[in-house]
Amino acid sequence: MDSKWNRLIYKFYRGLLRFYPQSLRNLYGQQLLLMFEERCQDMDSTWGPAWLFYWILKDFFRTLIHEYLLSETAPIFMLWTRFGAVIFMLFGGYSAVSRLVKIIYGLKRSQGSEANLWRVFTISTVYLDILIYFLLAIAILGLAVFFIRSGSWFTAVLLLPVFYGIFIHIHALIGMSFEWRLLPFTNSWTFVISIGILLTGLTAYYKNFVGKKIFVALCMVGLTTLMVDVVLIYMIWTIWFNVIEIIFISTGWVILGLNFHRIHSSINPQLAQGR
Amino acid sequence: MKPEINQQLPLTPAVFHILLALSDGPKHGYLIMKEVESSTDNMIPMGPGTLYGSIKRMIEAGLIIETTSPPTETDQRRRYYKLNHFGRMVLEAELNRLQKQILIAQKKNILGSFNRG
Repeated sequence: MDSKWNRLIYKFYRGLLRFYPQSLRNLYGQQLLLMFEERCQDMDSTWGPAWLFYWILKDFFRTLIHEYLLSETAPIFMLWTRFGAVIFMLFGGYSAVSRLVKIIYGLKRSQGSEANLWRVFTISTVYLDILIYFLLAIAILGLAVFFIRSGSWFTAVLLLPVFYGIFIHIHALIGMSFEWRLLPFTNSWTFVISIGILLTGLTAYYKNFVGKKIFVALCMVGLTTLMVDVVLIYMIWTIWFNVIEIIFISTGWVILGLNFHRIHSSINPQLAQGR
Repeated sequence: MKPEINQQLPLTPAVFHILLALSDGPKHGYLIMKEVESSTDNMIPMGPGTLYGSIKRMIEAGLIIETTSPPTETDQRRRYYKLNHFGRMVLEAELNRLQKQILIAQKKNILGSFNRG
């Protein structure tokens, strides 16, 4: 490897180090750089710059996964177990119940005066939805600021898809307040809820914070939300919009179910090392 | 087997190979990585973050400690790590566990049929 490549990759690695977990950088920042230097000096001719780039990028992502998702003190873990469970249980429950009520009223919506009642109910719940999601957005923004101030940029970035889900949903809800038949277009939120419940259940169970019963309960909330959603799709006419989403979420649940013991046995020993 | 040792088992491949690399004396990070790579035919990928992440957790778990550099060391930036008594006991317990599994496999003639191909 010539010196030009050497300098370039070294600069790249120095830059990449800024995105490593702060706790690791504080303790071993110099050692990480030294180890990389030694690897560069030790390179034989068969391992080119491309391999070195691949090596450091793979290590970077492996480190992020281990430090943020599997470590006991990882902020993302604290988020999901301490706050995530409460937030997503509340919203999962709210979503399931409100959708169920909407369906029950929806069955009567074509029957004379009931139609008007259905319309009023739907639109009033839409405003409640907007308020709740807006408060959730503020809460998550607060958490993002907390993580950034703690030096955990990566965790803050992880919250972006949640923001995206919230604002898409608010946008859809505002549209729905003008046209109540747009109701199924808000189903994207189910995806965020299901993923949230999934992560909450997994992290809490693997860390022995909760038992198997709680984990199953979390799964059931997610599934209930999903099932209500499926019923909703068949009642209202925009089927294809939701089919891909349903296939995606269902596949995720099936994969999780089939691999439950394998995932558990492979992650638990790693977590045990964090103690 | 003491309960605190039992809590550490089974070891992850990374932790197991780091303990194994340190079993014959103190080493610095790069040397540990080189030994793990050569002893596993590069089957255990060990970049700087992976290695020092594991070292951090192992020190917290009381398996290894940082030690002084040997007098022959020319680069003063290097930090050396060595197994402590608890780490050695955990390594021995893990090796005993693996040995029992090998014995079971031998009894079931799995290794024999594998070697015959």
